[in-house]
Amino acid sequence: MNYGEMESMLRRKGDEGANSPLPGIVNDRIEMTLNRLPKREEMERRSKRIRIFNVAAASLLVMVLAIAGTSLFSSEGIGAFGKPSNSADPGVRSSAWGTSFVEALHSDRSSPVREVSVTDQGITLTVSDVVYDGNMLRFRYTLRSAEDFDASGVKTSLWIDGLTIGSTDEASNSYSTYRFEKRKIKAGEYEGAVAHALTDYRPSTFDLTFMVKHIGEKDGEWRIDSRVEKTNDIVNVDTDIQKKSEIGSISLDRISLSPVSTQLRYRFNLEKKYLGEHVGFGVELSDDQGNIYGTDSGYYSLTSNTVSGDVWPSYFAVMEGAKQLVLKPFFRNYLTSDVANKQFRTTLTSQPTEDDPLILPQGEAGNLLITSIEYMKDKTVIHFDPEGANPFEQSTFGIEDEKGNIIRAEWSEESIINHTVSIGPISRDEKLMFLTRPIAKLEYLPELEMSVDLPQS
Amino acid sequence: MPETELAWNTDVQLACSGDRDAFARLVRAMQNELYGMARSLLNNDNDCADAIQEAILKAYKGITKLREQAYFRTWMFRILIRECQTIYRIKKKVSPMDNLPEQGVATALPDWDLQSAVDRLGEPLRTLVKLHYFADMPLGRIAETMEVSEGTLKSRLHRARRQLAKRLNVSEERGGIDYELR
Repeated sequence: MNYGEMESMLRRKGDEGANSPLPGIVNDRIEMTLNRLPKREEMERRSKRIRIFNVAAASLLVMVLAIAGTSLFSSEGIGAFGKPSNSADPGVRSSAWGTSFVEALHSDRSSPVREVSVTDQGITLTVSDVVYDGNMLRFRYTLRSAEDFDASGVKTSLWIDGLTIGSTDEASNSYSTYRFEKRKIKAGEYEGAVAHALTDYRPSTFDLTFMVKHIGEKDGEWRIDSRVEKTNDIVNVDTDIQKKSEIGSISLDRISLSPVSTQLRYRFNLEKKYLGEHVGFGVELSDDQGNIYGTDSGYYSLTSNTVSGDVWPSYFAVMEGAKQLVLKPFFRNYLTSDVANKQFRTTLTSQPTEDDPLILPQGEAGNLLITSIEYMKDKTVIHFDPEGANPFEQSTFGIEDEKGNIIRAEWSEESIINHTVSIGPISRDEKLMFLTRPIAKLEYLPELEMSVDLPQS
Repeated sequence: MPETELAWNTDVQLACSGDRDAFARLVRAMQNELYGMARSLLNNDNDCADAIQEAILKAYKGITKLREQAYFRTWMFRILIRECQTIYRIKKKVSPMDNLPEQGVATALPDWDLQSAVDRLGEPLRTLVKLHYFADMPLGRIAETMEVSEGTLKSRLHRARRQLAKRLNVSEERGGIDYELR
């Protein structure tokens, strides 16, 4: 190649992109952003805060929660911390609070939307138990028919105040910014849940539209419209815990617990020199029972000598039985893209046991151990155990069948916390392929660790 | 003054005084250009959407302080370039567990080498090359956007091309270094 050819290649590359139409994903984002711009007077009311950078986190679950926690224009989210709470008495623990996802939805009775149904093509879609805490929106749905039916390849869409949040298509394994879970209960009945973390736009009430366009072999229109109000079932625990070390300081102002998420508000100030190559800083939230509710995605400053922030990240809802929450600050050791993009494929050759697990490599963080697989008539349950330096983010993997087809697992908050995930029924002889990726290790900072007692009912 | 230009200028004035709808109209009118620029600086549409979203939010937050209303377009591009650079830096140190499994994108080797060589350029050379070649922006406009002189840009582009040539094993044939710049 000579200079002329190089020049041509550079210009040709520009020409290739010159006439690219605006992709739907970009167009949608622009529209969503413009439609959610706050009014000028709302912006001016907001307290100033340091803008920090949020690095996309591991799985979609983590990413959704992380984004929700650090959004710039999250007026309601900010407001909830900045003004006297209208939520329940801080000393009273909700009946729903602390239970798992679906159970929480069942037992929460604070939402005005109890149950709305629509029938088409002989299948009834029912949405119920809508919970919105100003950050996370979740609701339960069922699909019922008089006869058994195929509910594979469900296509759904979600709108908030007429704005498209996204869509999911099980057939093409296409999942948008919201979570869509589904499981078969019995012949002719499926249930599931939808969850979405509101980021920029967090009104106290909004119009929710949930639409299903395709179920199994049937096209139709199952559309649910409901007015959603922010739940009062939120417990705020105010604290003034501060920790200092030579690395810097961290102070915890508030923990907000709802049936669908846990939010922290903490401030930190670190000497940049201590971050070195680690770059990222964040907090892992766990409880006295050993359950881990998430890691926020990591914050850092690009310019100053100190790294500081005033953040309110969001984590999974706290489980039943937790008496104390533990905040473990950490440095995140980011991986370079060439390492992070690697995949490890591990074939299942014999049945794993606790004593002889299938070991899935995860790079510097450690390994994920598949400790057992239960083969049932209607599902297959996989038990796993992360072993390493970032147990929360290590708690997920991909699965393929012998032909390389992706097997969809029913990931949920419960499955990540409890280290158990289900897939459809398969034969014991199926040579499953497990996919994992390198995970960044976390370097915990025990001198900055904090614990908070939770109010008990 | 053409009607469209009048409408544009009116909207800029309105937007600068805090009119949300006028600001939205301006962004919509620029959206293809914004995407074109973001796409030249970033490697996928998701990142472009992130960068454009951040740029819109930052522009909306700061527009009432914009002193030279005539430079709204340039100012907007400048914000977007900064956002793209930030995202690019962050993505170089990515968190590992993006959706599993991910399908790789097959790319022809020569183009991959070119892209890789451009990506390995340091700033501000990388952004300059991407804007000039990939986004097809004339140097005059880049100079305005990046707030540096055209002479400086030519010098930087010269340096960038030398580095690219070295990485791509380009032979030292005449005419290369002094190739006419648009």
